Amino acid sequence: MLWRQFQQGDAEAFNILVRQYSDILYDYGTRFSPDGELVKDCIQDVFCVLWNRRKHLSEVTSIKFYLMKALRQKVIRELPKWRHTTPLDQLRADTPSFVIEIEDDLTLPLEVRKKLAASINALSPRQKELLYLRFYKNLKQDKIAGIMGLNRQSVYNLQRSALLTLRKLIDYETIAALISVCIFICTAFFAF
Amino acid sequence: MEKYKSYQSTDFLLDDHFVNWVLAPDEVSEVHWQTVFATYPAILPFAKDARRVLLNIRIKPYRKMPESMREELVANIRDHISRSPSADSRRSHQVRFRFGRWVAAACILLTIGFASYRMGIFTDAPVTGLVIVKERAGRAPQKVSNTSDIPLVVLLPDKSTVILDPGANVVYSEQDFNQHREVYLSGEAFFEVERQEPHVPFVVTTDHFTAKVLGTSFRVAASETQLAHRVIVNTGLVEVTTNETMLRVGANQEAIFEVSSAVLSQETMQELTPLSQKAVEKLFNFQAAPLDDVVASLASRYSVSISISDPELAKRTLTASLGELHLHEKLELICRAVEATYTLHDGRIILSPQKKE
Repeated sequence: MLWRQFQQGDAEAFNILVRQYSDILYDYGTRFSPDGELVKDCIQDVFCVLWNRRKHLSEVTSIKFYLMKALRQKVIRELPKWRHTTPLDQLRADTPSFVIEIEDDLTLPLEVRKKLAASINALSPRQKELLYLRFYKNLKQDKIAGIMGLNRQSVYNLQRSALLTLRKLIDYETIAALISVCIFICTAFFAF
Repeated sequence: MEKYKSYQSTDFLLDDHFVNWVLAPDEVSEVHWQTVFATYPAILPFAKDARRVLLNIRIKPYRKMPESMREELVANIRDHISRSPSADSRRSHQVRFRFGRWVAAACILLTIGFASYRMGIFTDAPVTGLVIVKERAGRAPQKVSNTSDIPLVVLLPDKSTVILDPGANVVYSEQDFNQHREVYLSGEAFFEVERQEPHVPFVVTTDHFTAKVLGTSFRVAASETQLAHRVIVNTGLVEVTTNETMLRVGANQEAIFEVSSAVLSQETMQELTPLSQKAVEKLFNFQAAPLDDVVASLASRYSVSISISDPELAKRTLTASLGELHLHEKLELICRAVEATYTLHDGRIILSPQKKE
């Protein structure tokens, strides 16, 4: 509805779209780069291009998908200019870093939570981005493939490797949790 | 249903339906999975295991856009909307030439304005065209000078193009150019650099600095200056290095080397560069345009000489969007469209009708 109004050139409808998606895009974009200003400029560009091309766009099934894909491309293209410390030859436009953090589960011992955070950090940027898109944005594999510019099989493989890493870890985490519970019981037992 | 029979934890983890059910259960999925577990009770422990893994992956929200930034964003976009024409005829999609290869071959255009006192040396030279001098020593570098009074086109071995201004010259090695893409420049010139895989940087050296470029999509444009040497970038990234400083110059920016103080600085262009991406999108968009007009537009933008050998050929029309392409790619595309061929004769481009077989 909003989309159709925007396509007919309704600037107010477009402004509502901008406000509605600014947080989603900002959250996604700043995961590639901590530079908020850079991300803001990229978001602005994405919306301006969207406005200019509105007549040539078909009915878009997912606005979020379209915008995220466009922003990803834009940020990745702009990023190398801002990274002055990396030698030019080593700049690879296709592998920017990506930040995700897992919600702290306070029922788990601190040690385990630290391990979990470390393992998430050890994942490759692409694996992290995939987890983000799948579990935070709740996008299905075919949409993820579209956004990240991969084929479905690659997305599948990437998800597989990321989840297997986490699964191993979470198994460890259960064992560790059990051990700490045992220690607690034993201590309690001997204390009395 | 049958496939679930042998499901392990991993299979559940990679099953979109299962993941959606865990993360956001609804009636349909609830019924579906309860039926599955009732049919194959043996897989239930694996499902529980997978569920536990999935519920552990709760990603924190990261950053919210600050309110002030959102207001700025909305205001800037509002501004853009009010300035852009209501009917957007910016892009023609009528005929889209799809040459993935060419689009993939991203380019760099690089112009280096060089102090004009050097040009005085050439004023007595015959006003003809390109003078090519092969020096036999070492790696046999080749020197190409423009002794005419118009800019001339030089095609490098890697298919990059240089448009040499009057009085300018470039020196490079013909034999191993693809391994070492190094050009020495004196005077002013305009470069369109082909991307190369694996990345071989393209380096332009002058008396005061070097400009290094890679294959990310670059466009750079020309400017004239007397006291300062400049590198002006259209899109992409150029690394400019002097003895002391290194600067990265991005789209619509220029690096300025002040000769007297030897200071290198960077500035954003106030206006779009003549061949910046935004400018060329409008400029090189042709709708049933006569070849004559298309050629005139190219010639003036690139400041090169392009002639059409046959008056009949000049009347042929074409519809094309040439914005993203290099000059030589533009020419190839035009030639295909109007059934012509182009040749480079002494730095001047000549279009002639294709010979009938």
